[in-house]
Amino acid sequence: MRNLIKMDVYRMFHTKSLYIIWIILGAMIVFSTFMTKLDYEALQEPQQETTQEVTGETEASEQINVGMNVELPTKPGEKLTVFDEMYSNIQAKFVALFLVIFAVIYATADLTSGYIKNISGMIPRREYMVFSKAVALGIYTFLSFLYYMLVQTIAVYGFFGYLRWGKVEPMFTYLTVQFVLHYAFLLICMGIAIVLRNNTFSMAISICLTMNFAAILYGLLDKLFAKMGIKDFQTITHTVTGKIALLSMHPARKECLASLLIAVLFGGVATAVTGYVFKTRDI
Amino acid sequence: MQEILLQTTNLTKQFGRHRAVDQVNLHIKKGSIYGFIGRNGAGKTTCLKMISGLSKPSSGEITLFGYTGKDLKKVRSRVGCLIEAPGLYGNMSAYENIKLKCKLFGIVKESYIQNILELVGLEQTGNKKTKQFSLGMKQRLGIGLALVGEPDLLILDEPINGLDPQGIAEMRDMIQKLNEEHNMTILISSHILEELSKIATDYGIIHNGVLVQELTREELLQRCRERIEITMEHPEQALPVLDGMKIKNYQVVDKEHIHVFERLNDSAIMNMELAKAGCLVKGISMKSEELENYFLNLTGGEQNA
Repeated sequence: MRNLIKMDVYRMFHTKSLYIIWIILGAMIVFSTFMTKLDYEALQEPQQETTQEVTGETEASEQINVGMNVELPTKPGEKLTVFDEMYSNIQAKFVALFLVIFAVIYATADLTSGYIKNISGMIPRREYMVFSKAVALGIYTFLSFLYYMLVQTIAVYGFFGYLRWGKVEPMFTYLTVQFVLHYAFLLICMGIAIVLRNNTFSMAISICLTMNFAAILYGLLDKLFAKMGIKDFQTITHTVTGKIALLSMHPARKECLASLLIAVLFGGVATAVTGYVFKTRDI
Repeated sequence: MQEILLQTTNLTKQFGRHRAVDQVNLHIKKGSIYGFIGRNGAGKTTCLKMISGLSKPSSGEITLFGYTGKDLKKVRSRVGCLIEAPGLYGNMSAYENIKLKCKLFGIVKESYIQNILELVGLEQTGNKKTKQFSLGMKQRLGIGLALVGEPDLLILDEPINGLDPQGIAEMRDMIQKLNEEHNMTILISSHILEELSKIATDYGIIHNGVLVQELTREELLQRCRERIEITMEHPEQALPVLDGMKIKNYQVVDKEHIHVFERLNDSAIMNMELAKAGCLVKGISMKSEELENYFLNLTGGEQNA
């Protein structure tokens, strides 16, 4: 298993798409920060004009939008913090979008190239190949978060000319929970890619999940639950993508635990199912 | 008797209603080059995939190095394979592709990778990405990858497919070198018997998922040799006549045929002597068979090839 992980990590760092995606992610962070600077400047304009806008944004932040919607939590008159920027980008699944693209490419690369035929017969427990990919993706998620935080910090400093971190403890808690949620989401996307064995389909499904297109399905499920007598049940709040979007800036302990539980449950089940399918399937 | 390294017992693979491999019993001796011959779609690749652990048999058993069933896992790492097209990462060099597999085996010696590259003749490729390789180079790298971990059994599925004559000759030399110098048992599949006949020591012929025949090189050559073929109702009556003519190299093939492999210019004399002895000869003729024809006859004739 250790050698398998070494092999998968080596392959990950020799995958061109990893660096391409990081470069694009970096460029998009810079662009997004520039756009939020414009938003931020608009918020600082005379009170009467901005009041309506702020009210609108407050309403919007309480529901999940289909697509990507980056909204600053900074209130008029307040100084923008790095945490504000990170929160707005992460909850909009800006980071998740780039991570899942790589996860799908990486998870299927050995299948599409045929390299898997060179090794899978020699491995006593084939499901370990899925588990080692999961470990590699964990490293990738961690490094991507570090990279994101670094670029985001530089971009904020570059555009705003100052650095304010915001409250450090909630920021650390928020980023830690989001890291776990993102990792779980990547494991789900990896599972989809390996089970479907089709890059196009897997990529489309993963991006749709990131963009909350599944919210339509969740809405139907909610109605079904309501008909069954389960009132006020919101499926989306029990999903990984829902948790990524809805985790508050200053999450309470209970909220953190619930998010971590969802992440471990979905990520664990996705990896286990993928491992089982991969083990029993012909190559 | 030579040790059997790989044996399959009633190996079967069913895809829905289609039986791709039907109760195949292979016997591969240690140190041999086993040519697995069959036309496209005969079931060669499916069979090799099962042997190399890429797919599971629907029924039947594989015995490898004396291990069978769940114990097969213990010896799977002793089998290197190149199944179908070589599986390579196009954005990596030959060195990196091999290094990747070395990581799996925990091999860290740089010289190990270099030795494999030299063995397959790719030591000069440097940082060139494998997506820029010719088919022959890719095939050689595929074999190089199969050699990582020094397997005792090497499974090569149609390694000469798409190669030019020079590439085929190089591949042949490499396979012979691996067999002779590294004492590797090689199972090689192809639909080109002529090419296999230059290196294989044993043959298995598969058709429509069924193993039609398993024979040694000597047996195959014997069957394809130039000969006088005598057709008569009671071949046993001819034996004293042939013995009387001091002919020793002959074979009673079935209830109607005798093959004589010597004095090939004396067919008229043989006919006369048999007639004198009261043997009713239906026909006597010179026959020889191309290896390819022999294969085609076994697998349903030229019209279907």
